[in-house]
Amino acid sequence: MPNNNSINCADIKEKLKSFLEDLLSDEEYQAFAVHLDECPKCREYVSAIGSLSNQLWELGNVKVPADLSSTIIFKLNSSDKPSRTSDRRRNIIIAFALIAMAISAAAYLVIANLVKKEGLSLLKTKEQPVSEPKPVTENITLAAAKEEKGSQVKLKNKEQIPAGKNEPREEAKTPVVEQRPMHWHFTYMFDTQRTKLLNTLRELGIYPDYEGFDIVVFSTNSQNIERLSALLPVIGTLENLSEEVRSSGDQDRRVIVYLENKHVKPPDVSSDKDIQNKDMLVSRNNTDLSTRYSLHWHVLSVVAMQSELSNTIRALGGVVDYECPGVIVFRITNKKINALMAQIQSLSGMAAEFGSNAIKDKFPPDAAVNISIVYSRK
Amino acid sequence: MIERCQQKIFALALNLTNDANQAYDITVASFVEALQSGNYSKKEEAFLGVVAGIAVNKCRDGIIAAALDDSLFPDLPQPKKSLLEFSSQALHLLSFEDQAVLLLRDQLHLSYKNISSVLRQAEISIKIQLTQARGKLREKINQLISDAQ
Repeated sequence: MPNNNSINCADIKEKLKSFLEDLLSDEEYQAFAVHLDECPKCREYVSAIGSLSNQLWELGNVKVPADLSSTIIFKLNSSDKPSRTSDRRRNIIIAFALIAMAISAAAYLVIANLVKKEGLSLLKTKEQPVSEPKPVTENITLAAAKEEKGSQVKLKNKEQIPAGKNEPREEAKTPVVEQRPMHWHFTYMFDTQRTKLLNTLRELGIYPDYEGFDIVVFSTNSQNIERLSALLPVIGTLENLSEEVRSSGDQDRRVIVYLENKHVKPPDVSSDKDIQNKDMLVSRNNTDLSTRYSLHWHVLSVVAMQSELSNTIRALGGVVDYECPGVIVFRITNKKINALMAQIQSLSGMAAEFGSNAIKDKFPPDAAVNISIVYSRK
Repeated sequence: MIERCQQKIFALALNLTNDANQAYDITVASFVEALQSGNYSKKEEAFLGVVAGIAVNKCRDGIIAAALDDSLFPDLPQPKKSLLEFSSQALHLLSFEDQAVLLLRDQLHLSYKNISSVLRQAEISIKIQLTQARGKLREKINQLISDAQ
């Protein structure tokens, strides 16, 4: 490896011609390049020469995104891929854990033997009091109370899951999402910013409730939302859907980010067999974004039962990919959309408001459309 | 070391893919892969070579159609900008391998030995390819300049 001290500014002028014509030895070339990296005057002097190699060098004079190094470090720290050092560390931890378990087991045996000698029992259940034996009636009552509590828990879970969720589905199971307050924000970003969005969320300790083809849904507090709007390049602003959001204080909020594809004009899909042959849907494994379409509907009306809406979608042949209180993300064939709109109107008594209604007329009738419906309910 | 090398790798990826977002992703992935492998020297030139090798492969796999973007040259004076534009255009008219060898040598200033390990070719082949690529680039630039006049 060439020594940085082996070349100085005077040498630069002397060896300049040879450098530009790539006639230096490897060691001299490296020393020359290192000096240019470290000496701004020589760098400016050399780059001013109008040579072909300098043109290519100049093409490297681009501004680096400010967050590049922090993204690299973040990815490195959060990556699941094991490294050699983490393997070694893991093995050490496992070894210590095994030793600790062995010591604990040995200690337990020793103590158990000692206690046995003293005539005491170590095996007690939580329900049985130590001092006096429990009467039979109490035991039965306790068992009954536990059973009742268990059934109440079951009922509670059942209420949370919208009706129809347990019906057999053609696609992957919709994840169950726990109840959250209904305070909404939504915004738009380009799909190319997806990675940056997810990285930023993770940095803030936020894990999406759902990540789909063109939508990311997550829950967080108002403080994080303010941080996000400062960190992320969004197309729109983080808008409130209702007055109650502004007055909700620091309660949990749900944020919906629509990821817009840059392809505005739907391409020719005549060669796409999935769309041609099926009445239904493009496979979820299709990663070619140019053959999938999105509509984002904001149904700003009151819908009595979310289960009715999701059942309507399924009855028309749609597939629900994700739902939580107030959000349904699904896919449906374009030609069924009008029927769905009519159903929504009859369910809610109000017409659905569509974010990009005009675009659906440009899609082929049998095209699969990804739709997300966001609505409020009282 | 990351901060010192990231500019060079980003510039390399940007010039090979002509897409800032793709260059960003490739740069991040290349550094992560290089650092996770543990297979690098602490010497900057060697590390740069490892990361550049990964980046070139990722660029080769994910190459997209080139499209000139004026935002690549925001702060340059007008006469130089024209020549750089021609240079960039001409570069993207070459094959990927020619682009890679030119950028690795004349932009990143890697040694022949390093380039040889990045592109997995013998040093002598690299030298020959580089000479030929420079000739082709010169021709393309002259052609573009004369077409523009």
